[in-house]
Amino acid sequence: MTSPTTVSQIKNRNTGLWRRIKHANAWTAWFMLVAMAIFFLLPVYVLVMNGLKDPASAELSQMWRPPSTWSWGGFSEAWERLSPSMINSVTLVVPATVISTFIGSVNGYFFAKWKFKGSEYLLMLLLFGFFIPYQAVLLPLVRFLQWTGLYGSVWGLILTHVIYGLPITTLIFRNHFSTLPHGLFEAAKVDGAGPFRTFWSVMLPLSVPSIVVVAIFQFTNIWNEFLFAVTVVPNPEAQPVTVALNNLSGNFSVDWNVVMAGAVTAALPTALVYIFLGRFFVKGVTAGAIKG
Amino acid sequence: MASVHLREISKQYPNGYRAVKGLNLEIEDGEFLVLVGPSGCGKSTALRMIAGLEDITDGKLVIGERTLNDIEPKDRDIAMVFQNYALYPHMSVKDNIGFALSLRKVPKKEITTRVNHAAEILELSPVLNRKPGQLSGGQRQRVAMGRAIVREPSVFLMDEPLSNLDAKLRVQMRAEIAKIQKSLGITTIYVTHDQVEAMTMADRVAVMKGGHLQQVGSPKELYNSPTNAFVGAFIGSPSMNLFEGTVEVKTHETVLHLGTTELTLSEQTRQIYPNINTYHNSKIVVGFRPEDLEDAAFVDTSENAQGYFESDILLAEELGAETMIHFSLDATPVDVGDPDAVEKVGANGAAVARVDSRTTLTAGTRGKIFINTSRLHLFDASTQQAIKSR
Repeated sequence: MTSPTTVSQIKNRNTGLWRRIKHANAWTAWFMLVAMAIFFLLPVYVLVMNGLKDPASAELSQMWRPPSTWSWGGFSEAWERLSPSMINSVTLVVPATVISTFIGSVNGYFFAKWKFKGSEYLLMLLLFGFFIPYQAVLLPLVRFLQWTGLYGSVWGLILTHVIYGLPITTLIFRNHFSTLPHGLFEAAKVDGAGPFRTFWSVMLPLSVPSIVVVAIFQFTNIWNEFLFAVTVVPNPEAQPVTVALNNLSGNFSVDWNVVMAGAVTAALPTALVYIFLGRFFVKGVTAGAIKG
Repeated sequence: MASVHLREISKQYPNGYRAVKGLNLEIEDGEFLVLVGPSGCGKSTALRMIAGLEDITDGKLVIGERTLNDIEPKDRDIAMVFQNYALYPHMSVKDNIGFALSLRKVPKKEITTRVNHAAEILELSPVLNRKPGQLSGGQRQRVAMGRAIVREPSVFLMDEPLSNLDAKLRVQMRAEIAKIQKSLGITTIYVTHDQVEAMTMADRVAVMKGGHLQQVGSPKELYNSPTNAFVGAFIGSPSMNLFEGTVEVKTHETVLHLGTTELTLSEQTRQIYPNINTYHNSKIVVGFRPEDLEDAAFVDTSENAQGYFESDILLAEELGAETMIHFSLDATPVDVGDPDAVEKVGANGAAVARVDSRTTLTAGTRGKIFINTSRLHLFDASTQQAIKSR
């Protein structure tokens, strides 16, 4: 004889089922995440494993196997051939990142807090920069740089990247400054700070997370950029690491261990920047500005 | 220190909305003036125009001898306390308070002295090195005050500085701000929507509604002789009861008809409103404050200036020291157009009386409530302005 099912029993059964579904979901999510992680880590695995092989055993047919004999030869040769251009890259990327981040923050501040007639249209025009493909500007860019005498120098490349970076850096900073409480801005005004003093003493110190985001973004983009680099700087001695990496693979034969080791080496600085600057990714710096 | 003069000040936004309409105010040197009114009455806009955070569309703003219409906020010699405090979150309390001084190139040593002095007044000395995020709400409010007083400006502007504090702290800070203002003697313009704050802190109160100034005067003046029904209802808590009534002039007396209730005007009231007889047979607005009513059981009926209502008791709210009696009144309630009035007094024909807590009146019973007819407020029905000698 079965006892009649009570309402609470039905509810319990339902929550049990619900829990099982949620459980199943959790497992599915886990499975998906692990699969994705493997998918993304596979190229890294191949890079590192083949970079550590000796030249003879580094070949396409054996690319999935770990090295039978471990060798640092690939890395040392890659370093030897890439290090001059790594330095070129640093002298390119650091100023380009700093300048485009700074100009972007000033732009964003004025677009967010000192709106003037037509400023919205000006911002829209600026944002058009997003949609112009690199290839489309190559010819006018080269002509312009030749005309200004910057063609072939790292400063020409810096200028190019600063200008190409302005739409995104301006947009990120404008959106950030729009979220800062307007009261702070007014308080600074009443306290006697002019537009630039307000920017420097009040707005910028509250923008560390945005500065970090923009800096990482710009650093990675400019470091990895190839087309402008190879076009604007034809002189191999001044070329950044992306171009040098491309030149590692010779015309007739490819030393896979060197190429793989070179790719790992060239990618290291961006990874380091992310790991180092990521720590400054602090949330909640505006806590306590206004009530709540 | 300086006097502040607002002459026909108006604000019109680009979308055509007029927030402030021809505001005239004279604020004396050292005076504490409270601008009060319901939300959207233009009080904050007026304050922000004085601060220079909003452009003045029309009129003239004079502080001391200077016309300030087109002067930048930083050159107006004013300090402002914001509703949300607007403290700089990355600066310590010390730097928050001293920021304005360092912008003015005051020597470091003097900044320290002045910041310490302000911190002492506000009891902030122990937390000078903390960041605003580490402070309690009350302390943040004090820092905001400190930022203003350290400047020793000619005018303080305060925009609802207490509205973010809890009730207890608000009462405490209310007294403290008033005390500090008195000791510093700095002209202060204080905006609030809370009439209790206005009444307790102000030397003079300016009531605004819909962009227009309604009345300026001492708290007592506003309470005792409101110029119109809106001020009457806005000042005082609970609000003044306002109902339509009809005047009937008889041979020896003047009678008010409030629904079926008849009130004989006292000699005193007829002296205050000498023109009342010209309203014979016409409608007026009758206002009476809850505190001018009483449970008949506690009134000495030999006094003559009294009438009474006999009505159904709808609700009795016991507050301990006193009891609020809501009773039905068959006259038409009058709306004064306060956008913030959640529970309109007089809604559903109910009036409120503040009576002795020993009252035995309870909801559902029928009771007799006395009214002091010397304390009636009479307004014209069409303009809602007080009926005065015209």
